[in-house]
Parts: sequence; C-alpha cells; structure tokens
Amino acid sequence: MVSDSVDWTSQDWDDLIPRLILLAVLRLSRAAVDDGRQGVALAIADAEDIVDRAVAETMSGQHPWDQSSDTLYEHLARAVGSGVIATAGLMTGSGEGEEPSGEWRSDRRQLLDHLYDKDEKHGELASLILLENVHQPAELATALEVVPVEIGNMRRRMKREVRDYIAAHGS
Amino acid sequence: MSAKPSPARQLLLALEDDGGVADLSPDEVMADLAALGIDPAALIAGVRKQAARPAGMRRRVMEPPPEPEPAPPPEPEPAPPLQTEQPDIHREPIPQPEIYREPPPQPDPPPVSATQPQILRDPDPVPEPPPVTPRPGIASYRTPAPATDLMADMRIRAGGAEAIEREGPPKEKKKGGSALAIFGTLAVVAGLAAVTVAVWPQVRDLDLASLMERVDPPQPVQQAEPAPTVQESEVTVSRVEPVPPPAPPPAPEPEPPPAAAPEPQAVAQAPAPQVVAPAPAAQPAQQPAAAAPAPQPQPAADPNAPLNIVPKVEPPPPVQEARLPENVERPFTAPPSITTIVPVERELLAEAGTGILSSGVRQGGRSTDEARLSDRLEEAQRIAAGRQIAALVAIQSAEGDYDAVILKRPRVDETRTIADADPALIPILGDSAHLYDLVRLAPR
Repeated sequence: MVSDSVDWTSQDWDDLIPRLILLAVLRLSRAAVDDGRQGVALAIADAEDIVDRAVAETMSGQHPWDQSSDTLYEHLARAVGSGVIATAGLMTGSGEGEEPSGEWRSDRRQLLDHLYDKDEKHGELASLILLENVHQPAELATALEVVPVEIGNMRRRMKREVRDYIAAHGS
Repeated sequence: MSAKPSPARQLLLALEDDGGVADLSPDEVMADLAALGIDPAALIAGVRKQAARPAGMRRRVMEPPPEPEPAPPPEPEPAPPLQTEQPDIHREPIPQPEIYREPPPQPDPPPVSATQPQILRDPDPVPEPPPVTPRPGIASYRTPAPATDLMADMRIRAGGAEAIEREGPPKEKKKGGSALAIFGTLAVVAGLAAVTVAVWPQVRDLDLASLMERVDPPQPVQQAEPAPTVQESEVTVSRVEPVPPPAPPPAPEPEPPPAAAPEPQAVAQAPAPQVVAPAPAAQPAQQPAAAAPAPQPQPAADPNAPLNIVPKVEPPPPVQEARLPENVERPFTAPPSITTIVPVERELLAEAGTGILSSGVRQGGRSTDEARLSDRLEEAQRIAAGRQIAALVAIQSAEGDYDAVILKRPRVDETRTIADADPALIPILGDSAHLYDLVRLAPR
C-alpha cells in the first residue's frame, strides 16, 4: 500500500517508461484534436515531463501505488492521463491560429500520394484522418464501407507503412 | 520542443490505439517512439537513478520544481534591466561612472546600487549571498529565506549597518528597488501607451478627415472652403493649362501671378455666386506681393477661372479609384469569371489532393485541358449529390485560364481563407469558406 514498501529498483522501467511516454504522446495529440487544434504543437517534451512527474509522484508517495489493486503500469497510466489533462488544459488556445505551412501541406500530399500508391484503401483512410479529422473507428468504417474490425487491421498495416515512410523520408 | 509534428508522425499517432499501448510488444513500442523521434533512454536512466535513492531522498514533485526555477531567473533578469535603466540616472551625477561599469562583470552587485549606492561599494562580500541557492538536489531547503530577512532586520535595529551590508537586507532592498524601478518604468510605458492609444484615433481621424476632404473635391463647388491649400496648387496648375488655349499665353502667364492681389477681389465679386470662393481665397495667399500691373490679364482669367476649376476637379477621381479597392466594395462586379460551382464529397476532396488537381500541377498544368476539367467537374457533381462537406469550384479567368479551388468547411484544420487567396472570390463564395487549395490549371 505504501509506496515506501515497494522495491522500485526491481520494476521493469525499460518496458514501462517507453510505453508510458508513447501513451502520453498519444493522449496529448488526442486532446489537441478534440479541442479542434489538430496539428497544433505536439510537445514531446511535455509527454516526457508528464511521465517523469507521474513516476516521481508515485515513488515519493504523493500518489501512492496500491499494489493490491492495479499493476504499476495501470497506476502510472492513470497518473499520466491526469497529467495530460492538466497539460492539455494549459495548451488550450495556444495554437488556435496556427496555420499549416506550405511545406507541411506539401509533405502531407506526398504522404497521401505514397499511401494511395501502396493501397487505395490506405490512402482513403489516411485522407479521412488527416484531411477530415475523422478518427472514430465507427465513422471510419462507415466512410470506407468496411466492417469496423477491418479498420483495426488496416490501422496495424498502415502503421508499418507509415513507420517505413518516416524511416525513408526522415519524418 | 513544440514543433508541429510532420503529417506522417501525426498520422502514426492517429493510427495508434490508445488502449492498445499496454498490449504492444516492446519492439513495437520502441519502433513507434523511434518513428516519433523520441528516445526514452534518458528518462529511463533518470527514473532508475531516482528509484535507487532512499525513500526520503526522492524528490517531491509538486512544489519543489516551481521554486528552484524561479529563484535563479530573477537574479539574472533584474540585473540587465537595472543596468540599462539606471545608467540614465547615474550618468547625471557622473562622479561614479567607473564603479558602474565594473559591476557588469559581476551581475549581482550592480543592481544593488540602484537604490543604495553606498552599500554597493562595500559589497565586496556580496558574492557571499549566493550560498542561499547552492543546495544541489533538495529544493525544499530554500524555503527558510524569510528567516534571514528577519535576522537582517534585527541586526539593523540592534547593531549597525555592517551586518546589513553583508546579508539579506540589502538584497531585499535591492530586489525591492529593482522591482520599484521596473514597475516605475512599466507604469511610464503603460501611461505612454495609454496616451498614444487615446490620441491615435483622433490623429487618425484627422488624417482620414483630411484625406476625405481631398477625395471630396469631386464636388468642387460645394467644398470650396475646406481645401484652400490644395486648391491653391491646383488652381495655379489649371491656370497654366487654360492659358495655353488663348494663343499668346506663355508671355502673359508670368504676369498674372503678380497681379493676383487685385484679381481675387474682382473675381470674388463676380464668380462668388458660382461657389468658386475657395479658389480666390487661396489665390491671395500666393500672389500677395504681386503688383497692380496684372489687372488686365486677370479679367481675362475671371471668365476662365470657373472653367479651370472644373477641369481641376478631374484629377481627384483617380484618387478615389485608388482608395476604393481598400474598402472591399470593389469586387461587386467580379463574379463574371465563375463558370461552375460543384459540391464535392469528402472522398473526392481527398482524392483531389492527389488526383484531379494535383495531377494538373504535377504535370506542369499541361495535362488538364478544358474538356478533362469539365469531365472531372461533372463527375464530381455526380458523386457529390448534394453533400456539402466541401466544394470544388472551377473559375475561368479573364485570360481563359482555369483555376480550381477546393473549399472546406471551417471546422477543418485548414485556416487559410478565400480572402487570403483572392479577395475577389469573397462575394461569390463567402468568406466563411476555408480554402483547401488553389491550383491554376493549364491555360487553354
């Protein structure tokens, strides 16, 4: 119950920290999209700070981890979620008038071209996400006229493609 | 670190399932982070280090962070402003300019001089105060700061100035003095700004008013009085013009100016009913020193004067034309260029980004001729079928070129508006439409 009773050094931080950072980045970006600030500055540093703070607060007992109820990851994920909410609140409106630059538009068009060339469905999915801000699986499935399950499969395949694209193009 | 993510990274994040992060394999997590440009190694090391510390030594997150950061900045920040502001005050005495330039290398002492120059010179020990901040990892120890202040006050009352000079009080006063100086300057600046803001509209109105007066001249007869100066120059010029018509003008021209004095009177009597009064009023100013010899040319000028003024008014109209465009009222007659407005389905819009329009661009605008564009528009119209997510607009320019504009509704992230691309489209498309892209296709 008490955080002092936990052997913090034995935790698998090599697995936990990257996972938590990824979670924080995802939630920050979602918060930005929900606020209609898609494309607004995504602060990776914010994500790392949020994770760092969540871990520090847990270790120091400010947000003690109840070992009997959750895994440490679930506890930290909740703490990260709170941090994201606080950070997103501070970010509100900060990027309101931010306009995508011509270069950014060009990159987007190039990415869409690439995905369309690979698979037309993937191109359509990417277009819905990037151009229309459609993110909900149900909406995507309706727009693409596929079953919702297929959206999950398409996402996984597209993730690999996008990772490869980033590796090949640098960003 | 607030750079806008690239489209690819943004898409990658969008594809990631929030709840699925826990189920991702470590390799996948690391691959995603690598694609996002994130290296968690530093944070992992930091967490491990913190986990290895004994419980009492682990940093507390809530309060410490804010304290340590604010502490250091205030010292360096106040120093520069004080040095820049106070020099003005201290340059008056001139006696100790040297002492002031020494401090710059030592950022701490100089600010103190602002309020208490006497203490400034003693503060050789001033470097001692730093010990207040040095605590390495534990920020919470910095809180006792107020205690030193109290001690300093006690020393002031009991002992003397020596103790005060070495420790807290001077710093407090220094900060207080610097704060006062800053607030003072801010107040002055704010005051000036307020005055400027208050006065500016009036000044601007005056300018506008004067400009309006200039523009109004098209109705010369009525506004004769307000624009005497302008008419002066105009009148002189106009006279030069009319004079030529009567064959022998070149010689008489130089003469009329001197005779101005008598002329105005005569003119004022006869033409006054014609509301030409302003011109005569201006003339006397120009030709006051003139002698009487010119009265003869003047009578000739009287009949011409009204005629001259009328042509004079002609130049102003062009001025009006130049200003109207700024008022945005101009585009009312612009629409003729539009040929077709077609609502487009979002899939088509997405496709347009890489298909219809961009193909025309990628191929240098040569591949899309009028017929193909027309076919595309028909296809778009068929697909759209009344949906209003976006609109594809084809515009035929005066030169016969085709412009294609993809429009999106305001909720989309695109913030560039039609007005940014071409204000002439506002009355046609509405300024609420958000421009997705504007592409010039091949000329016919």
